[in-house]
Amino acid sequence: MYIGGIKEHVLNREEVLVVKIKPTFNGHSFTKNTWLITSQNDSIQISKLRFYLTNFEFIDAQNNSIKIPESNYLIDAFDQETLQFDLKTIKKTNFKHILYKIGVDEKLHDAGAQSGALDPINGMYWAWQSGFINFKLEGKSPSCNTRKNKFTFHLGGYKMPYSTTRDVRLDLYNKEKYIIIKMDISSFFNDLSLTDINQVMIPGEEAYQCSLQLPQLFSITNE
Amino acid sequence: MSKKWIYILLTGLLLFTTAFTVIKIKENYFDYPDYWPVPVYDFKKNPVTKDGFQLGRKLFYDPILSRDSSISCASCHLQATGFTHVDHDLSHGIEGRIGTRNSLALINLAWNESFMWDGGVNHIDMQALQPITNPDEMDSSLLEVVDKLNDIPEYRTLFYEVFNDSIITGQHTLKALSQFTISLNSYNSKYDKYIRKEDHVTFSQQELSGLELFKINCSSCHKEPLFTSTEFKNNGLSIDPTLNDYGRYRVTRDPLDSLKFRVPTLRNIQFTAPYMHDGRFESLREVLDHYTTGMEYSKTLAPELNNKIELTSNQKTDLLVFLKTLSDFEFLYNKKYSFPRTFN
Repeated sequence: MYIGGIKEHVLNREEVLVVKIKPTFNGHSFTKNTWLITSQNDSIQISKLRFYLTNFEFIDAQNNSIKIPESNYLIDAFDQETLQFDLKTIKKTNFKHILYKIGVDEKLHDAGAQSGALDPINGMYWAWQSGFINFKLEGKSPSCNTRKNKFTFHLGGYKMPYSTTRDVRLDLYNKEKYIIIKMDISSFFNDLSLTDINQVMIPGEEAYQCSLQLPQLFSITNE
Repeated sequence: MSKKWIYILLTGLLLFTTAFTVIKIKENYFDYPDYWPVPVYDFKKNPVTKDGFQLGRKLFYDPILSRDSSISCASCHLQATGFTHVDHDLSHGIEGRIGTRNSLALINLAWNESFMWDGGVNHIDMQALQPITNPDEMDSSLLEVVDKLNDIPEYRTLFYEVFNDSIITGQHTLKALSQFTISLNSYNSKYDKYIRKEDHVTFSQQELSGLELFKINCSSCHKEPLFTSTEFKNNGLSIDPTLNDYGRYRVTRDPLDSLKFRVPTLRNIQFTAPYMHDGRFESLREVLDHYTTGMEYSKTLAPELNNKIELTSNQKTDLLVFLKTLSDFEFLYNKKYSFPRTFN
């Protein structure tokens, strides 16, 4: 039988669920440094887009929660290899929802050196003020009155009230072969004028405000 | 007697006994006096082993950690001076670059809740990232360091022996360094032996007087037995306009933290000159002069310093004599912490 689009063999057998991340700008795929226009009419080029997706969890039809342990992924929009990963689930059922975090679980920010995607070797950990950088977005725009017109968003901070780790909960359909998560980075700039805000590199109110927009970037797609 | 009362009595007995139980992490390379507080460091996540300690020690003394392989951790953290940089007010880096703060002494770090003068680093594993990546210090990156280490078969073997993985990772590099730095424990000074009534150590009249003066004037922040507290305090230093360093404010962005810095340990203080976060005082007498006559009063000044400290010249001398009893020569000259000519 097919449930959630994936063949179910034997009960309790560990299976793999493929997740694909599809970065877009206004629904269209884009490459590094292509010119794009935001809804605020800022022309931009994106040179870096790296972020963590972590703590994956599924909710089935009976409202049972299935948490995927140690599911921490560092996504790089311009590195194909990072845009697909396998989640090991126990028994596959008809999942209704997928839950995950954008950014690293608050508990892991001060728990010492971590491994894999969370290894500080990946350049996503602050040296001068400990904590993961949950989300990195860098590029250029003539609207930025900065050196080389650069904008830099390094969103991090794990302490309340300015934690920048955000929860996402999305509905799943039952037809797709993979779970395809669309990310529309254009939404990041919906309420953000690059003339006013273009450098966020420390934890605090501003990083927190920017992070509130992040869940809106993600949706489930069939394409 | 009701069950409730028996329960209360038993709990009381239990508390009474645990209060006097010896708490000791007796690893090859980590132990401390029974009467000290329990370390903050979680040894379960990174147990100190002989091989791990030795690997961390090798890394600590290896200039491979800097971009041009010219300086090691030990360049600014010398054992004989309590693992700090004697005579240098600000930290040094590659190509003669100068940082913005005085290097801290590395002593009894397992009791630290945070690191750096402003507490910006939240775990000792992450401490090494700061000097490795700081452009004014080693100017490298963890990735670069790990790539260099992976090119050296000897390191791959050593990492395999410690972590059961011959591919060197950032996590393992940092954890190995932690195993060494967490073990730099100093508890055999004359003061310690006096407290423990060991080796027939006695205090002179001057040392006793100094200890009394210390307890009255200094110990509210420099708490025994670690001679520090986990707190950050504004100790009345005027701002240095060439540095404009507001200390902990940089981390918390809370105006109430303006001009606050870590309360450093006073252990081995005789040898860790110069003093303060910017190394502005070359001698301990200058430090005492600051506390008695040089204080700058501001909103965030430590409440402990609101009442003027008054010391006569003789009292200052007694205090200085006492501070010298905090020197631990077994620590400063312990071969197990020194440059690893051969592993032993």
